[in-house]
Amino acid sequence: MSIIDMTIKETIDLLRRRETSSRELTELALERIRQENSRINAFITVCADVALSQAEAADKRLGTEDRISPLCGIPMGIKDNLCTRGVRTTCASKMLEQFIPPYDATAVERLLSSGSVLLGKLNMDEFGMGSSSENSIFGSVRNPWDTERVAGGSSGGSAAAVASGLCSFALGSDTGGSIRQPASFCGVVGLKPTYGLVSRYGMAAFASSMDQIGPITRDVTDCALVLNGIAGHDPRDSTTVRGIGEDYSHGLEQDELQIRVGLPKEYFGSGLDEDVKNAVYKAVSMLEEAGAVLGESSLPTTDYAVEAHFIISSSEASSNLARYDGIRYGYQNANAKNLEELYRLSRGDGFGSGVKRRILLGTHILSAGYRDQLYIKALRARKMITDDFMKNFESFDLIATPVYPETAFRLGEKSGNPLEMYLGDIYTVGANLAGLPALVVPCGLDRKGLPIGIQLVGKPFSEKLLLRAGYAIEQRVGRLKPKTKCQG
Amino acid sequence: MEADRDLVRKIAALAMLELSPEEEAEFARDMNLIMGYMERLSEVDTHGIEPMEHVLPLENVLRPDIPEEFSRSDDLLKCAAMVKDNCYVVPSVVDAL
Repeated sequence: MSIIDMTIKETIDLLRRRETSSRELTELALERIRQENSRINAFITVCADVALSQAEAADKRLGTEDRISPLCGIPMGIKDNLCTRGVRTTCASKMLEQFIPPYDATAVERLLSSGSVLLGKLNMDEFGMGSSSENSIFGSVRNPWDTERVAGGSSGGSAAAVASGLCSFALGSDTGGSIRQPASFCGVVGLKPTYGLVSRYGMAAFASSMDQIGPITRDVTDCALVLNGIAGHDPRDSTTVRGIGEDYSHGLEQDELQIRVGLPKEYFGSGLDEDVKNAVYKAVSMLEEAGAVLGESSLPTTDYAVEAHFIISSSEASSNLARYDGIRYGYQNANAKNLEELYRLSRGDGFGSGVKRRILLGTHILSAGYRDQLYIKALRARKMITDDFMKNFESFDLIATPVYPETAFRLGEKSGNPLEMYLGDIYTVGANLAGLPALVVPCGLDRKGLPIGIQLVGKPFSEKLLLRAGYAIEQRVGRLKPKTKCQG
Repeated sequence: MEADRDLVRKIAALAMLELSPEEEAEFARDMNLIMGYMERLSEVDTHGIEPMEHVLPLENVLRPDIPEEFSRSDDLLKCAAMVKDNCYVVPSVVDAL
C-alpha cells in the first residue's frame, strides 16, 4: 500500500518518526491526481505550487514544534463551494468560474493553520444542488468503484477523491444528504455535524438553515480528527454554538456500547434495495454484538420529509442566490443595455438548469398567495418532523438507517427526472430539517460489488457517541477499498 | 396549481432570470411534475403547530460595534467584471436628459 492510501492516523506516526515527509506525501498525492483525475474527475482545480510550499512549511513545523496538530502535513481536498483565499472557487458553476476568493472559509482557515496541505478544489453539483455530481460545468464525477456510475452528490468529488487516494481527507457540505450519500456510494466515512457545530462562514450558501460543512475520510478515527480541526464557535457565523470543546477522537476504541439503537420501520419499507437492507441489518447486529440493545422505532413524519425539505430548501436557495447579480463578483453578461438586463442576462447565462429550476420553484413558493400554503406549511411540518425525532430519542440513543434506497446508480440514469432525484433523499433530509448529527460508515458491498453505508443519527451534539458506534461497526466490517489503475 | 409558460415567465421576471423559450417550456413541465408532487404536503394536518424556521432557539445576540480596518479592498474589487476609479461600473440607471 502506498502511504497516500493510509489513514491520517497511520500517516501521523510516519511523519512523527520522520519516515516520510509532508513534501513526499504531497508529491505522491499530486502524482496520483495526475494519473487518476482524468478517470474520476474529482478535482476541478489543482494548486500544486500552493500545496508544495504548504508541505514544506508543515515539514518545518513537524521538525521543530512539540505540540502539533495531527492534521499537520496531511494533504486535503476541499469541496469547491468553500472559499479558499487565492484559489479559484467555482461552485461548479459558470457563474463563479473565474471567482478567486479574497478570504478563506473558517473551516478551511482552521485546517490550514493546523498545517494541512491544500491540494485543490473538488467537483460537485452546481451550488450543492443535486444528488449525483452530474450537474457540474466541469463534467460528471465518476465513481472509483465503477466509473460508469455516479459518485453521489453533491459532494461527489470529495467522496471520490478520498476513496481513490487522491487526497487523505476532504471537506464536503450537506444540506439534504450531500456528504452522506456520496460517502455511502464511494465506500468512505462521512459526517454531517449538528447544525451550529461547524462554522458556515465562507461556504456558498444553498439553504442556510440546513447547510453544514463536514469531513469525508477513510475511517472513523480520521473523521474524528478532522472534526476536531474544524468544530467550534466562530464569531463570523452567529449560528455556531459556544462551549462545545470535545476531543472527538478520544475513547473511540471503547468497544462496550451500553446504548439503545432504534430502527425506524418507515426507513426499511418498500423501495429499499434488498442488498442495502441486509447490509444495514448486518451492521446493526454488529452494534448488538458490542453491547447495544436494538428496538423498532417509528418516524411517521418520514412520509412528507422530502416535500418539507424541498419546499424549505428551494425557498432559502431562491433568496440566497439573489446575491449573484453579475456586478461585485461572478459572471457578467457584457451585452446588457441597462441594469435590470444586466441582472437577468448574467443570471440567465451564469446559472445551470438545475439551479434555475430551484430558484424558480423557490420564488414561486414564496410568491404572494403561495407563501402560507406552501412555505409556512412546510415550516409547520418541519416542527412535526423534529418533534418526531426527539420523541425517538426519549427511548433510543441513536437511530440506525440506510443512507439511500440503492447503491450508486448509472451516470445519466436519473438526470432527466429531477423529481425522482429529489425523492431518493428520503433517508437523509430528516437530519437536516431537525439539525441532527448523522454519520455514514461503510458496512458492506452489494452483489454488484458496490459499497453500502449505514447512517447513524443522534441527538444534537452527540457526535462522539455516533463516532464510537461507527468505530465499532468499522472494526467488524474492515476497510472497503476500490482498485485504482496505478495499484494494479 | 397548473404551471404554464406564462406563469414561468412571471416567476422568472421576479427572480431576474432570462430564460430561452425552450427553457420556459422545460420548466413549465418540471414545475407541474414537481409541485404536483410536493403539494401532497397540504394533506398533512398541521393544525396548532408553530412554524419552525430554524433548529436553534435563535435570539438576537449583539456584539460591540467596533470598526475594523479592511486593507484589502483591491482584492475585493478584483472579483468584479468592471471597475473604474475604485468603483463598480454598471450600465446607466437614470436615462440621460
